[in-house]
Amino acid sequence: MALDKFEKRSAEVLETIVLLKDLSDHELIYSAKRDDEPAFAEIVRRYRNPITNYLYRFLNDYEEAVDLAQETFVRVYFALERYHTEFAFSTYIYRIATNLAISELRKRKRRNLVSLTGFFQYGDEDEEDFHPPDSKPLPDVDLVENEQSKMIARAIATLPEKYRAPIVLREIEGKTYEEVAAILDLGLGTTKSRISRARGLLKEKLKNLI
Amino acid sequence: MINKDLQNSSDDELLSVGDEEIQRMIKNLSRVDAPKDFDFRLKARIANAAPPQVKTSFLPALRYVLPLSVVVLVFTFVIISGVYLTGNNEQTAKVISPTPVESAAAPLPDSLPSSLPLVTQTPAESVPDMILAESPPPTIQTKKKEKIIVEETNFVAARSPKKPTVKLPGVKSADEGGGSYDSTSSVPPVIRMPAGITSTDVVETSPNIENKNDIITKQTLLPLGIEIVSENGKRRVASIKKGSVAERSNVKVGDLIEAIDGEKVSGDAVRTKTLEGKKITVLRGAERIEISFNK
Repeated sequence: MALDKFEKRSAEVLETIVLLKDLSDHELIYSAKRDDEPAFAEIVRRYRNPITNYLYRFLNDYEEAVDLAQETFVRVYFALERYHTEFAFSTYIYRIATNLAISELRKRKRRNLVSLTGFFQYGDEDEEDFHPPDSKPLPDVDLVENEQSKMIARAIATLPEKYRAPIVLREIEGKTYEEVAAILDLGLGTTKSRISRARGLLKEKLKNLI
Repeated sequence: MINKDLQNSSDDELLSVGDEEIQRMIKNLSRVDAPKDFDFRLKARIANAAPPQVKTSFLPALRYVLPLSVVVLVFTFVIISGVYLTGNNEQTAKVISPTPVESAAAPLPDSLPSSLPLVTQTPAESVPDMILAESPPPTIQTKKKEKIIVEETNFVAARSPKKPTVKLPGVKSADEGGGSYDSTSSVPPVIRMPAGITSTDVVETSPNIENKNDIITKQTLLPLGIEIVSENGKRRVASIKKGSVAERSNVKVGDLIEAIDGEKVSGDAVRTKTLEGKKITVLRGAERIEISFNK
């Protein structure tokens, strides 16, 4: 009897998950506004990896990227009531993440801080690689071991922020020019120009690899 | 994935070989995923985080409220000032009202013949309203009444744009670099007198003096050598200094001083301009005589 109940409940949950997966972002937001926790969880599930990856490539600091990714979702959660469906949700959430990342970069400039993670990650070869205290393995262990990837990541991280965000969104996140322009609130021409300029800068920095 | 890349490349401008290589290298970067405890940490963070206070942007409201407040304050100030000033004007009007302009030109005694040349005020010399208040009613003789009148006079004189001054012959006015007599001042004035006239003559006080016009009249006539007494609102020549201008000009003891420089000084007449004592009008018996002083 109890087993039947459990199976029935599991089936309902599974059905809910399946249904949530089929919902669009705006539908999920609509549900989340009505305190539908699974709907918001689905939004988080959809965007946690892309946002974390974007922020990681932007900041070149994994812990900071994870922290800002969480902050991004906190902002989204508390701003659900004020969210309007004029833009795609992805544009909305990437814009929040970008703004947080830019703020973080400016804070770093003001404090003149050096990222310890970045310092150890891109230090001399003889030094031991940095491992976060988290028990889980670093997702981009392969990246650390790959010299070429390290150089590319370092080159992106040294780009000025106005070139860094467009090139990461375009080349790493695979956004179209229009999406990049919408996220960064720039004109299409400016966006293309900045991406082109970013490519040129990267070409100079990585000329040894080309 | 390949199709997406092709699609992204399709809306690209033509890339150089170097750009394509850069694009390929960037795309080959491995993706980084969120940690497994991401959801758990996020839930804890949301549970602990107080909802961010919606910033009530008061600045836009301030943009309108501040100028509005200034306007209201200015408007209120203007209204209050208007009420205050209006109240003062009413008070002034009350002081002025008992003395109509006609009273300045006091009628001559009925006994005088109408053929005599009369010194009358022209409209241009009409008495300014503010100075009218300085003239006390003729019937007021008690000390109490006098006190009230003086207070009122001071009040009005204080608001008067130009204080009346007594100009004596040979004495420079304040504007000319000398001193002046402030009729509203309670301090006895120090007046420089011509040679032969001592200051004690000027400061002389008499119980017959009814008002300040008497003082001014006396001070105007003393340099001419004329000493007067007040009798029932009339100024009579009491004595004439020997060898003085008055004696040479044939002023007689007992003459009633009616006007100085065309300004009536008898009765309730009010001084409206600075007296210089160049010409006086006297009544000798039934005769009205005009005496000019050529100093």
